[in-house]
Amino acid sequence: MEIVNFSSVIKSFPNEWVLIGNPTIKDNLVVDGVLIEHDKDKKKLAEKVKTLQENFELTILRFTGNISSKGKWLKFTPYN
Amino acid sequence: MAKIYSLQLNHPDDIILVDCLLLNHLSQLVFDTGASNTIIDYTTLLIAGIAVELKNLPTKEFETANGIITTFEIEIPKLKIFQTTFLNLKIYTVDFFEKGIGSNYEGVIGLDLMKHFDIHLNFKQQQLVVQ
Repeated sequence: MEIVNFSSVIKSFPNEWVLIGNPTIKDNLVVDGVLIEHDKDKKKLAEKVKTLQENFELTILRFTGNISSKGKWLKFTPYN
Repeated sequence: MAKIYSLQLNHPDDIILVDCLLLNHLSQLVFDTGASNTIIDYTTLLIAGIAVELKNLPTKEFETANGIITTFEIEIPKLKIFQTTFLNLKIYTVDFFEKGIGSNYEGVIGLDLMKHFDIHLNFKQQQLVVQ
């Protein structure tokens, strides 16, 4: 399993969801890791991965593009 | 002993994200004091290896900024938030993409779990301190 630099993952697979195995994380940023899978569609990625994540001590999901420049207004309160 | 986490609010649209360990998957969950319960994206559960069939699960409706959404109640084997591990934890799940949530966070930590912690937020110093 080859460890790849995360910046090269971003260049190779722009605007995609990538699942990284055993990542090195510094200051909350992924530095490198094993590229497990990638896909433009997060759900398709989940289907591809299935049980692959079991082979890793740790996995992390990242999007290689800019997702949203919108503001956020979240709340989840029970309805009735 | 207190543990200090950086808030990383660098952009006007940034929110407080906390890295949580869902089985062995490091997930970014929003620290959301406007959420009564903890809700995790269904796709994230699949990626973490939690295979769940939703159709027969109990449901719960939540009032959100996107309107009323129906979520599914599930029990997950393990979730670690800050330094605390919760086992056999009841949370809610919904397909974020279907509900039009396209951001990069994978769920929200709600007050149901926050109440287990002694947390201090210092926005000027960009710190979240867990006692």
